[in-house]
Amino acid sequence: MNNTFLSLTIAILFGIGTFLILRRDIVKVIIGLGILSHAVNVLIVSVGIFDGTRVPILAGSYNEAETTGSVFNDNLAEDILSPVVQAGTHIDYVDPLVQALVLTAIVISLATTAFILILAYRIHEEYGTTDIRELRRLWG
Amino acid sequence: MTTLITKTITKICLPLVILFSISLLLAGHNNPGGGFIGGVMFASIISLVYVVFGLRYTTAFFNPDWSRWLASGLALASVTAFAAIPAGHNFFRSAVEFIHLPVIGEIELVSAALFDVGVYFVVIGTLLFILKNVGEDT
Amino acid sequence: MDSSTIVMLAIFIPFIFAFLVPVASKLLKQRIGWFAVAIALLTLFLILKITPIIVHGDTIYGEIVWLPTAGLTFNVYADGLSVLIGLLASGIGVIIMTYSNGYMSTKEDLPRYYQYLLLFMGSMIGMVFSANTIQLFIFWELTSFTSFMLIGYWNDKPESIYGATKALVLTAIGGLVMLAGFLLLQVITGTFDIPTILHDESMIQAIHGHELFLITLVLIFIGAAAKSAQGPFYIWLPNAMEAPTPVSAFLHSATMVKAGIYLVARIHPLFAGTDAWFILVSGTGMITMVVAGFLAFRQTDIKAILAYSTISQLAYIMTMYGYTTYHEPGIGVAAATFHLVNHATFKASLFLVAGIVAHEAATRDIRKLGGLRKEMPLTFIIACIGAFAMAGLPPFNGFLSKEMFYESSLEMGVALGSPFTLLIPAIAVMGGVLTFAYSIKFIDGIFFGRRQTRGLPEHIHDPPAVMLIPAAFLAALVILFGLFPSIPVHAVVEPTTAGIIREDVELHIKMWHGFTTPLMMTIITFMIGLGVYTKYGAIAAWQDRFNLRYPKISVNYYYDLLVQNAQASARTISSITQPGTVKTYMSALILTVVVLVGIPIILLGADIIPQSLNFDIAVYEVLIMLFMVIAGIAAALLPAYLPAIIALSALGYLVSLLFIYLKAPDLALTQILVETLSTIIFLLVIVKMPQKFRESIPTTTLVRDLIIAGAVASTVFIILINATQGIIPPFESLSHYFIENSITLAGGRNVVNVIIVDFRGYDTLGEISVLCVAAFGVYNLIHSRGNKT
Repeated sequence: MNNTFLSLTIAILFGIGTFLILRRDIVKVIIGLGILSHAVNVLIVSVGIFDGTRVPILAGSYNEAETTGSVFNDNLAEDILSPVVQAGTHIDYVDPLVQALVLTAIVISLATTAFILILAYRIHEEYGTTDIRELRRLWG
Repeated sequence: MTTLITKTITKICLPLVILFSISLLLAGHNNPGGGFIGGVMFASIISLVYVVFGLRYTTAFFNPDWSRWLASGLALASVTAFAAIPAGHNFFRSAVEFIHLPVIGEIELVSAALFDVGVYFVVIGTLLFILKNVGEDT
Repeated sequence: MDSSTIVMLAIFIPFIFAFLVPVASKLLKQRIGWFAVAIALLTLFLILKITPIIVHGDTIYGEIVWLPTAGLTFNVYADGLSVLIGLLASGIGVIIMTYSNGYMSTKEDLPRYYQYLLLFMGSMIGMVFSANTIQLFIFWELTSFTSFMLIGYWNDKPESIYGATKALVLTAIGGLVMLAGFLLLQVITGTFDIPTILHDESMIQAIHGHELFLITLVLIFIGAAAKSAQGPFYIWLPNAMEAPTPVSAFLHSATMVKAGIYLVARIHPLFAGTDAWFILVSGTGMITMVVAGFLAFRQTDIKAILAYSTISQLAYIMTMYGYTTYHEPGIGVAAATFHLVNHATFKASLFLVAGIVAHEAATRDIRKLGGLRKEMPLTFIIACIGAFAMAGLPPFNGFLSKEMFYESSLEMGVALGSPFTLLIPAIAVMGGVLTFAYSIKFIDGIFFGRRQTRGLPEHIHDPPAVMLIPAAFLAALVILFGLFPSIPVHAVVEPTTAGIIREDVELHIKMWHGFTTPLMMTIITFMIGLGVYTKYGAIAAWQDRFNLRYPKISVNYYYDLLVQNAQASARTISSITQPGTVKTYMSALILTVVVLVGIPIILLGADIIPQSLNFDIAVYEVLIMLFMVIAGIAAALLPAYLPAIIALSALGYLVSLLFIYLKAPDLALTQILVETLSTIIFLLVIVKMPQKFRESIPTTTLVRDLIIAGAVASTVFIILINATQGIIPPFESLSHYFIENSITLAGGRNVVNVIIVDFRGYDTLGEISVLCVAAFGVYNLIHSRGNKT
């Protein structure tokens, strides 16, 4: 289950990240972006464990889906998705979709972090400074 | 970093971790793992080699062009994605086959696994390409 | 093969092979042109294959369902009109690409050239066979785009860039206006499908009676006029002559500018038979015909003469399509269609001649040229055939369609009654006179008169066969269609006309049909034309004086003014909206989010904090979170880079621990590895960047930033506790579907991985593409150092 401390931690990380991306030093901004992306990843995953208690790896044979756990019965099964989800389906997994989204996001954030780091490095090389205000002055 | 201990441990770890990364890739459909994780695992052991032995020393005998890995991975992934269209299915339709082999037992062949292999190569290629270029830069 | 499949192949083959051109050019080197010729031939063959069906009077319809839930289908419709333009696009394409092998120097960037030619051909064919207006619009804009790329082919010449931009601005704006017209048409008829509207008499009646009739017609016609360089939009075509000459022959005389004509013919059944149609289409056509014919006079560049003559000739066709009355909606349709074919043949051959002359004599200035008939006898003959056909002399095909033009003008004049009985034929004759005069000037200026020695190469001769044969082939067609008009008439003109006026047509076109009024008009045209030609110098001089005295009476003047003003105001606006400091952007972005989230929270009032909060938590989880907060604060407060980065990576490892607690083993594995690599890259870069700058934060800034950060943190906190612990979850998760079907549909037990590679594989494909782009971005950044100026 989700809890308030987790939400509080994520919120604090958001605050720290925000504070850092408002700094004048490019490297600090990049560190801030790193913290923000951690915070966002944890946020997305944390909203996915609303009901579930189990890792989304199915047990059971190929022919039948998992049938143990708490009874999943909601208005979803009566609506447009009724042909897809039968009422009374047993589901107590955490939400796998958010995990899939975050998994790719983690790897991509590595590549993009590398990209902006190199960008900062090249800026430092060309202009000799990492101060954004100074750069703004140099660019005119 | 380049003490004898780290060098020896790296040498021992290298084949094991590569095997582990491949097993992560192949197990991914049913257990934790998959192309992304396997790829990152592979990239991290190679980067460990780069760090421990030095980039210049390593590239003297082991110097693949990582951009080719990246390109072939993307090509493989795209081909698997488009392969369903000539067969008359929708874009990205995956095919599942179960094969019974005498000794090994039931083997499951999923065309999505090929897509995962493409992802694996793209991740390896991208990360090591970036790392090598940054490292080579003086 | 199914005939609709053939049509789709004809659309896709040029596109597919256009993308293979760079690969093929590695193998074929400079002979890549012949590869393009082969593709064009294949496309021509495919369209020829369906032509018998069309001649027989049938139409073809086919579709590929693309996104059925969004109502998107790719559908094709072939009738006489589309096959006619399709044949022109592929047939002239073959000729032009053959000719280009001789014209384009092997030092040029040939793959790019042929790639865009093929892309253009594909878009043109795609446009004419489109069965819905949205698809037509997409291909329409693709032709504008490829035309832009080809006009700007020599992208180091400022004139090319100017001409390309002008063409793109005018035709693309026209296209957007046309799209608005199509949307209104959908409002009236309730469908985007062209054949549905064409075959439904009640819908056409509904269009005629609808209050949006006029505005729809005007909007669509603006698109057509912009594409075909009619009315005030003519100004882009002369500047488009900066393109290589084969391109001008292909796009800017034979095919692309016919797209507007095609559109007018396509919507003819929907709008014709009304006064508005006649006034708009014929009115624009007649004014353009006379003005452009007149402007062709003072041009000294031989390609510019041809450009203005193209505008004027297109206006002929436009005028004829505009001839309509309530009882007889399609008076000029047959004549217009026939002239469309004829113009494509003789104008393309003239452009090829202009290309040959420019290639051999190294100048296009008619004042420097002259007396080349002895040195280039074959070119001279081809030029004469083309120019005489344009002037309307027998026995060439231009004569026949000009007679038909006069005939339909007379008929329209009679139908309208006095004073139009005389006025319309008189305007037609005026257009003919001007055409006659500049056609003669073209021949006279290049091939007769005194042979200049200054500014011309010493020896000028006929070009190699690869350039001569395409031009000769077109000239042969001019004669063939003149002597045996029944060939093109029966094959394409009759089915096209029948499709437009929706009844069977049988045309009998003969060279000699008695001493009729049109023949008298032709004789008058030749006599006055000769008279005008003798005064050529005086008229051209008067035009120059006029332009000098009144520079503001010119569409170009206003276009340039508009573009300059647009650039200036864009600069002013962007200097306000883009101040250039990251901090401003960030603050604006963050505050917008906070405000947008904050307003609903304030409006909801009492429900900000859920009633029951879950504080039940294990000790080790609290410790992880506590350490995360500490690591985060350390990363923010440590002034030196290295400790801050270590704090950041500590945070990353703690996040991977947290993922285990959050039941995400895949994420925990990935995060721990990624964090390692990320730290390595951070350190690699940081050691190269000695920390020179250390920010000292003033108190006011500190307070302001802390307030912003605090606002963000509390917003996120309130959202989160509401999203995860609110009484009623706002909506159900999508994941039930994935969990249910993971094994049955995808054969995998790890749902996370199945989602990545199977259910949402398209996302993943996009994401790994992002990875590749990032990798090459890093590579280019590192290696961009050498290009420093």
